[in-house]
Amino acid sequence: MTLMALFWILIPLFIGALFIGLYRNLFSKLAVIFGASGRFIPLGAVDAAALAQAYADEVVVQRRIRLRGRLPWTRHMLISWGFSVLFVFDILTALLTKYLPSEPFMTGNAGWLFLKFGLNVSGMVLLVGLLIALVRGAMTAGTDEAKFNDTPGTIFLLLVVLTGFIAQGLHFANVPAQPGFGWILLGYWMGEALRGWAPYTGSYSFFWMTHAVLASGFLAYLGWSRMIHVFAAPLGRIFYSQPAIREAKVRTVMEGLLKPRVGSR
Amino acid sequence: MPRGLRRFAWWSFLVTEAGLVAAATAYVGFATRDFWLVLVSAVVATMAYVVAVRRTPPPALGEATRASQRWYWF
Repeated sequence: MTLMALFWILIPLFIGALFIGLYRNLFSKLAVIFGASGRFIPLGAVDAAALAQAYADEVVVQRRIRLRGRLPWTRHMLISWGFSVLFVFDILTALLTKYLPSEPFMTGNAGWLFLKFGLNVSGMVLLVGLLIALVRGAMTAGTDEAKFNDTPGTIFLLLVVLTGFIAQGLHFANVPAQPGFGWILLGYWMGEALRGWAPYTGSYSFFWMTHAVLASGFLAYLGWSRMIHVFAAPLGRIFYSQPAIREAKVRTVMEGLLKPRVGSR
Repeated sequence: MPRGLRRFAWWSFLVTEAGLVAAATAYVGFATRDFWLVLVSAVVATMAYVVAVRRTPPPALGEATRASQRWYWF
């Protein structure tokens, strides 16, 4: 059995764990917000401009976090954009090199180098963001600012990133360097640094598998930890960007206030 | 739980798992030993999801159940 096959066997389990976490910790709570008589807003009542504005503010530029200061905002932008772009490049790499392989995406060719460049740039951005988060977490421990820290989540994601770079470094140390490999950045630099002790066969397999299991495990962890905010926070903002939802909420509150209390005259 | 939300939770899970099985099959091949292992993994995940859905306590809706109208949107 290849490492990739083992990964494919495990991934439905990990994604299942993610969905179970989402059901217990997100959907069941959303149900309370919506109420039992909830129904979808008619498509014509959706305010597309407000929706786009909420998405841009909450997800793209993260304006709310900017209000907490430049450093928390920089850290959060590096982590969220690093993670998102890395995820996209991971999917593209699997698709273009494994499922629909073509000449430009063969090892060493321009398309392949582009994918490796994207993976490494986004991975490095994520790594910097996580290191800032870890240092800041240690510096603000015990203070009021620490309430937004998620040290276990940060360490978990850091392990995913580090094992990924180590596996990549070991791989590039095992193969002869080719022109253009400089575009692979940190993965290639680590490979060159480790080349003196190559080949790494057992350790490469170990780090690759550790990285794959940790990365899949992190997806499962998203639904069970504070990391669930990656789904919940934008969703909440997007809901309340809609005038129809805000009006319905105000109406419900007013109905509650106007209702006579039990036992009152 | 509102029917629309429950349906969304079910469909998003099932479509994702089916997509993963399809992607895995494209890699390991159909009806190979690894294919059956992928399928077992997806079935176990589905069984765990069914158990989780059944065992998750219903949300305490309280006053929300009597509200005249609720709108939501994904």
